[in-house]
Amino acid sequence: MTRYVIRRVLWVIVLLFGVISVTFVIFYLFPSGDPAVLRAGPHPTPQLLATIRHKLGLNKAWYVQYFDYLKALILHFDFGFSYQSHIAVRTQIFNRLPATISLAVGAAVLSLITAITIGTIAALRRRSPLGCLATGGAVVAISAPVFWVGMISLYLFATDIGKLAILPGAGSYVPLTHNPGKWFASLIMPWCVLAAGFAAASARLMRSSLIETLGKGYVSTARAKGISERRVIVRHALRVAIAPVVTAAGLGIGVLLAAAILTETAFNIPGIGRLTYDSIQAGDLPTIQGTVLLGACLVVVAKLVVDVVYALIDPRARSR
Amino acid sequence: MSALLEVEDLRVEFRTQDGIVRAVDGVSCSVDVGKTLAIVGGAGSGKTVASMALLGLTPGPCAHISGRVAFEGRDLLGLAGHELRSIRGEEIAMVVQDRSSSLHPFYKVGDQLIEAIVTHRQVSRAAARDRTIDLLELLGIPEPHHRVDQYPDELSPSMRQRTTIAMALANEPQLLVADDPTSGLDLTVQAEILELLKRVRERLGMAIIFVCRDLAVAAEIADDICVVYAGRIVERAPTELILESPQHPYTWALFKSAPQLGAPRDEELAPNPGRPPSLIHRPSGCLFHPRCPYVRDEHRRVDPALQPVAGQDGHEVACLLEPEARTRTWQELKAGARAR
Repeated sequence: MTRYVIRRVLWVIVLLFGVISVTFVIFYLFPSGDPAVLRAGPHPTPQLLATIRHKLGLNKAWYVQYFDYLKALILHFDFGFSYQSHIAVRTQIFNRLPATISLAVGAAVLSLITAITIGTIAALRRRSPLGCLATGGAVVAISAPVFWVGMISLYLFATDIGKLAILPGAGSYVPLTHNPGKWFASLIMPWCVLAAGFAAASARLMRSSLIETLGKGYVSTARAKGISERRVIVRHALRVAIAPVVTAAGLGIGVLLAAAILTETAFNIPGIGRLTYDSIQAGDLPTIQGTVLLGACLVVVAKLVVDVVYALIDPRARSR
Repeated sequence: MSALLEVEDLRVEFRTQDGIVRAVDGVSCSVDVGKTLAIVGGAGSGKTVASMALLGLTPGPCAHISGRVAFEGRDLLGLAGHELRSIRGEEIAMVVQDRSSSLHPFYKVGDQLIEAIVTHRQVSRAAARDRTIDLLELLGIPEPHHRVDQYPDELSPSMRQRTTIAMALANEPQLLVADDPTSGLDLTVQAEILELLKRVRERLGMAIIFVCRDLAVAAEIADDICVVYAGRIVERAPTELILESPQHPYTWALFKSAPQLGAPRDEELAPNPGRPPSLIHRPSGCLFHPRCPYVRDEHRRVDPALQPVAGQDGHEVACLLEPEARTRTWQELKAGARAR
């Protein structure tokens, strides 16, 4: 198991290096606009542009730029300065990371727990009203777009504009270190909104996976041993049925982060998603680059976590 | 000999959207202490569903089981869940059909056997582990000390099947229900498994219900054979009698569709024409009539019951052909096969 984890970590390092290089290629060799013009603001003079080019090192050869970029990034985690606010991108990201991590991790945990519970009930009580309700509800939750669910839930439950004012609405986010109670309350709605679609997709997968597993020989073998039905389900069937759900969740982390952008925008949470959204609007290249890299890193790290969890579930994965 | 297990009018129905599937339609049979009964039939004959229903193991929430399954005087179908569970794996054990998935892929072989032991016995894990190693050795698995800590994926198909049988034998049951334990194994391994079953049967004085699709394999191990078709027994006899003078056209078809040792090499196999009948819209009259080469008009209307065969003790058949016609046809079939 240790060897497996070491192998995965080495692979993650290679992957991150690849991600960093691809990001460089995208942002430096094929810029969507001249960085110097974007940096200079309205009505630049040719001299100003030349100065900026010199300062940003844009007139150097691409490989020198690449080397400088790697050095700044790996040694100092330095993405440069935002064109808009002239604050270091690193500072901006670190200021906003806790909000996004709170939102994404909370939603991921919430959606997995609901998905496994609902999927299991739907599979075990296939013909009961409860099972049908779970299956039907999942279809609705998958089909509804995040921004729509976000706005509807604000309209229904937010304290300021809601019909049934019970939960803090948009813009109420408080950092965990300030006030844990308010932090939790302010995230209840965003968590549910972000988790809904993800949970529904995973619940459907969980249901079909468990139904398939229940038909396997080893489940009959387990029952034939005379062990309790509860133990048959939990120990023999669920452990197998969860494996594909965990894999899908790992692949879905990217989708979850993308949906987090919309959720943060809808609920006005000052996270990475909002930062990305705003910097795209402003054409703020260093910030976009920083958030893209961060997103890629989060996906890669999430995949690592999923691979390790998968290996804990399925011993066959360890030797692969 | 007293009957260990008596099955009376066992029925298993599945209520589906398309209608009621009668997978097992009134099967009665019995197994004596230490004896082996083979249930032989083709795909969709209901043999697997019937064998699982004995232990209340029918898959799916829509199954409905009725009839009587008396094991040492107790009706298994009427027992509460925990009473049934105390019999499963302890007095009646089962080897399930799907050989490739009968062992759990995520648990070590030893842990799976230990679970079977500690479910019914108040023993320590260490003692259960020792017993597991003994069992694996009894079933001819090399290096049992090593194998006990391996995962099923690391074992050969033959070893996996031996392990599955070892798990069923863990608590020395009085009855083993083995569902096609030799299917998909190559012939040498198949013979080894049969030998093994015979050996442990002697040693434990255990009865076996042996489910398979091959009459020749069944004849190797069984004292009595039931041939099932579309959820019903169409012929039942002691093994020698069914080998010598099979009475039902379906039994003939089973014989002729399997390769025979000693038959000429260029002899062609005669696959059974047609398909198994729909278990929802069952044929009228004799269930086998749509596939029977000897069908007559009245066979489409009259449903035959199991009748004793004159002069053959314990031989019963459900066929509307006259006894003389049956004997003559089988002699011709046999002679025809030899002549070719």
